[in-house]
Amino acid sequence: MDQSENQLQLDDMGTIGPGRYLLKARENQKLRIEDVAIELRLIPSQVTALEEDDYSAMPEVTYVRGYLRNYARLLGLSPDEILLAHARITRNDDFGKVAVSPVGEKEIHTAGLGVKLLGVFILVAAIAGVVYWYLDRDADQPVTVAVTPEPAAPVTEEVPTGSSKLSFADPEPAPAPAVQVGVDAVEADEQPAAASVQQDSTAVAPAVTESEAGQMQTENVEPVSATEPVADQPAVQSIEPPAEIASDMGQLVISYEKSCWTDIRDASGKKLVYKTIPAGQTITLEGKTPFTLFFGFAVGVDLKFNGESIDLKQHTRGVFARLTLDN
Amino acid sequence: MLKRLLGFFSHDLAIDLGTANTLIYVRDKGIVLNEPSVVAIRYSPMGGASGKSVLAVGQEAKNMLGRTPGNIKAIRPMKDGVIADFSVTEVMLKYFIRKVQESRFFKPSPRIIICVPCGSTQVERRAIKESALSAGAREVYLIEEPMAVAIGAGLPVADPTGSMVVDVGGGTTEVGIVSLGGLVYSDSLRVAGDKFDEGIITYLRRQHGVLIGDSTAERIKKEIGAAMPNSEIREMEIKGRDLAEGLSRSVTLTSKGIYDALADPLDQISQSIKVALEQTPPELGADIAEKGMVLAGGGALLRDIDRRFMEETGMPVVVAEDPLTCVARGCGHALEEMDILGDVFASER
Repeated sequence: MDQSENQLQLDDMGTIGPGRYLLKARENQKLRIEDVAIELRLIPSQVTALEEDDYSAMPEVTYVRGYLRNYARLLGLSPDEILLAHARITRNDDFGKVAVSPVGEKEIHTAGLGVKLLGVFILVAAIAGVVYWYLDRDADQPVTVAVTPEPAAPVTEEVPTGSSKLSFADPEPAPAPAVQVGVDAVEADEQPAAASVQQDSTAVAPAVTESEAGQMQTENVEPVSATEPVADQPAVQSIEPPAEIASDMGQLVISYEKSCWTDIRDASGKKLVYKTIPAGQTITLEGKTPFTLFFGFAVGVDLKFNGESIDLKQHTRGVFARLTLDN
Repeated sequence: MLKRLLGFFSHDLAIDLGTANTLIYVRDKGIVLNEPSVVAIRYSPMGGASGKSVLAVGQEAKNMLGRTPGNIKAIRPMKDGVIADFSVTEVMLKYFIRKVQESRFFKPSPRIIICVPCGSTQVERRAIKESALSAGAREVYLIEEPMAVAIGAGLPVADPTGSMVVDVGGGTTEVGIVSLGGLVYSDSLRVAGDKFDEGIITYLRRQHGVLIGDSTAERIKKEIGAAMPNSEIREMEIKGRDLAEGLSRSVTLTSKGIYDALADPLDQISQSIKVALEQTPPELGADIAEKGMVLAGGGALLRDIDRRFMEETGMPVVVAEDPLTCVARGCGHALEEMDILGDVFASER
């Protein structure tokens, strides 16, 4: 066989199908159609159809291309070139994407840009909602804690004109809630009443005065209590505190020499403190007794209850201490 | 709900989770990943809670096969077409899914179609499904491999005509006859590419007294492997360990010898094909006899394997276009036309 005769010219392949070249190669090799049919396990009419590029009676294109590949290999031709010629006459270069079933309008399932943007918007809105809810929840929880960096520093809060000024340094027990300070980990329900007590400036409810505003570290000061001018204070807001409430109240002053996990709850089980307090801080708490206290590292804590020092060693097991304090 | 939301940022995937290679088809994009199903694990006291950490996945891990120190293991988590190591398969799937998803900001949560051998048990199918779900899939659909091959090869699966496919993969050979969107007959044989490699290793040990590894055996199969005794003769020189002396030794192999090594597994596949033809209803048998069968999978690239099956069955045998990706393309088409081809998916039975 003259190999050069079997080499297909690309120029010709553009106009002539693969059948002509298969026919020519077969005749050059003096093979009969029947011989080829036996080799390829086809029937002679199928071989003839392949040589005439007539695929109307042939099965699906996958099979036709397989037959052409086998036929080309049998005759020593390049299967790739024969298949390329077939692709050109059938104008189909992409046999890997043959439709598996008749498809009408193909539904596109992939989310489009608009849907993706909508998804992003919903996600952002959901996150914003959660953040708003969280912040809103914290704002609704007034507390009565003052945190001071120095134990000796006077912690006071300015009260309206005419109100009395009482200091935390006063060793006398404070029977009523005083300071209106918001700290996120602390909760107290009695605060609206406490605010009125403070503004009433009665002796029963000693308030905290502020001598040096710069020394006071507070957060979320309740606007109702201390900042409004006297003229704006309606008389209705002044409510006498019941005596029995005052007798239930207790004050804690805790100084931290070392950082310590602290869990303090009042009589109703509310968490007044529930976090690690860093070393060097002093916190003052007031609330309804009895207090339930837990210190994770009691060695570094100095505790005073209603002005009296409490020896934590009696309540310490290992490094932590658990105790209850009542009036 | 969250998974549905994240689904907006994920492309649906079709996965050919093969014993040898894993291919991933992404909707509207085509095949975007073709990597060996191998994971390299490092064992160390610092490697997390279980003392294990993933060192490499895919081609990089395959390069380590047989070349690892004591504290590293290169694992093929799939065996015989099904999961052999659940946790490692999950790690591998997670890695591949993450790799093909464009969005790095959101955790991908795609719908996934995975092909399973038709002979796999309910437990094996459940394991594959669970593994994909654990890897982050939102929904998982299973499709049997012969059906995926038929779709991928462009056969008329929905028509009332019989089409026969043979997929010679890495772990299993799948034989199936498809008509009217369903499998009329299917059989799964746990003899395929891996058994070819084992046959070559055994042949070299017995005939030449030389020990070689899996990677060398695979290279021999690809370069000079042949399925017919009268195939064109090719030669190749390899190096292995002499079993008697323990030293490295060179051996020159011919394709004739490798044909002998492959004869047993090829005979088993031929037998399976003949059984399938025997079991086929006569009408479908006539269709198949007229059109022939379609070969796919990596095994279809073995030289003259189509000629061998042609001689043994007396039917035309054609090799599918790009047989290595045929299953993945079929899964991909099923993914694209999921609603139309709803009944081609397999259940866990």
